[in-house]
Amino acid sequence: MKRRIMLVDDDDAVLQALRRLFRRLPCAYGILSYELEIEMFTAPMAALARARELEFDALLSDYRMPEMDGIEFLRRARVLRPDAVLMLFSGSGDRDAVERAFAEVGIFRFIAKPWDDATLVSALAESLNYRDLMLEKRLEQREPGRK
Amino acid sequence: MVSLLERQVKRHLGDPATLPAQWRDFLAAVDQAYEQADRDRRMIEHSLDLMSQELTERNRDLLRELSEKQKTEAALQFEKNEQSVLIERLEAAHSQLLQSEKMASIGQLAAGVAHEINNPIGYVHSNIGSLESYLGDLFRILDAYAGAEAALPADAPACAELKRIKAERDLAFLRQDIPMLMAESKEGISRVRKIVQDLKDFSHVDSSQEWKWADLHQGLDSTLNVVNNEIKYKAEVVKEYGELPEVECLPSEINQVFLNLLVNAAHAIADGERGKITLRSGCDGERVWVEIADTGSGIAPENLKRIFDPFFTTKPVGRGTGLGLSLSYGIVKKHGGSIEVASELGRGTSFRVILPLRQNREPRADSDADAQA
Repeated sequence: MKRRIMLVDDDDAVLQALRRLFRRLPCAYGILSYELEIEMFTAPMAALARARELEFDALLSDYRMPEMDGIEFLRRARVLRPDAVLMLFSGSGDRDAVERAFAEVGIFRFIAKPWDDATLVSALAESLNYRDLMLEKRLEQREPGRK
Repeated sequence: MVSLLERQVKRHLGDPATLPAQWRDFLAAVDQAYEQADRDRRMIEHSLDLMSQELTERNRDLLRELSEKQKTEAALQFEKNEQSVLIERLEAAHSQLLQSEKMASIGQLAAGVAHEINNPIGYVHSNIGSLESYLGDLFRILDAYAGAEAALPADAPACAELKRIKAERDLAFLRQDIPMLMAESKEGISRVRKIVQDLKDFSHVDSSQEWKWADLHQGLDSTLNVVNNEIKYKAEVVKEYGELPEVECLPSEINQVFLNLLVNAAHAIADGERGKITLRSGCDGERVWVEIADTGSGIAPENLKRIFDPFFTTKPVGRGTGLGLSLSYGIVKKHGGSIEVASELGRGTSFRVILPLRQNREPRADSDADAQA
């Protein structure tokens, strides 16, 4: 199952490390294993432009970035891609920001930096699985006879 | 006639009225002289009297002036003493402020820098993991090459070249050292990660000052890491932790108490000596206790009563403000707990912080438990 993932962080070294990580550890949830197609952006505006063109299954964004913060980015991205599952990623551990991210943009997970590799990959797998379930449920509601 | 003259005349000459006329003239002249002398004397007496009165008054004035002067001087001295006490206290308060400002700015710094530091820690840590896995891949490829090498005829030129380059670059050493290098690098980055985390935990910059359930051992450990510099050259730290449930407290304030007690313990050990600081803990029912015991100089019995007084210190100027223990006492009291102290001169001191497990407070409207739910 191929999934398209968008990673946004103004620090390119973080993106490169994540790219290596997703290549190295299988993104698996239970018996499900996801093949990932990753697009990375150091600028939120460029990332939004890309999200306008293309469907993404999951968005993982850093919190503190120059153009706009991660919450603002996810808020705008969610309008473009309402089916995508959202995750916020931050080293500041700012509690207000974390609470706002859950309450205002409905992120599925918050991941603290420095991250633990295995935890991060499994959080992504879990969030993709959650998205699948939500989509399936929505389809079922639309066409009750399906399945 | 002047009475004195009259008496004399009566005694020696008989009734003045019967005296002959020339005598009477003579007596009248004497009488006049007498009267004149009397008047003069009285005048002198009067002026003497006046002078004496004046002198007495002057004397009194002088005395009053003197005593006033003395009073003013005493008042000045008193004021001066008060001022120097005040200045001392101000200085102490100032240096305590500086100290807490320092701690606060460490927290600020930790928070501000944490984001920047956590990024590199994050990717270096992750990259080391990736590099390790890449190296594993490379070694497997190398093994495959080694298999292929064995299949080559022994006299093939490639074999000799391989042998030479393996010896020159010391492949055996690389195989042995690379895993060690990776393990040490991972350990190093984990340590950096832990220090940043401890700084943040200690200062609790992430959270506002609020009552929460906290693990006191974790608080002690992160505080210990923060003051490690003050302690590590003076004392060995021994942990004899018991079982501790979580305690409802203001974690950063309790950490401040631990900080004061740990720094005091280290200061109690003379420079150049190596002492021991033992950390113990336990729980008896509804209360928990944490003990910080040192093998330092101990506290003199006459000072024991005063150690919690504000501004009381026996440390040299510039080293102690005399506020650490009194602040700690205030913090522990606020928690409904107590601090016990046992000390023996020359043997050491042990402080025991006793805290109730939970706080009996009015439920607050802004309880964070609701926000979390």
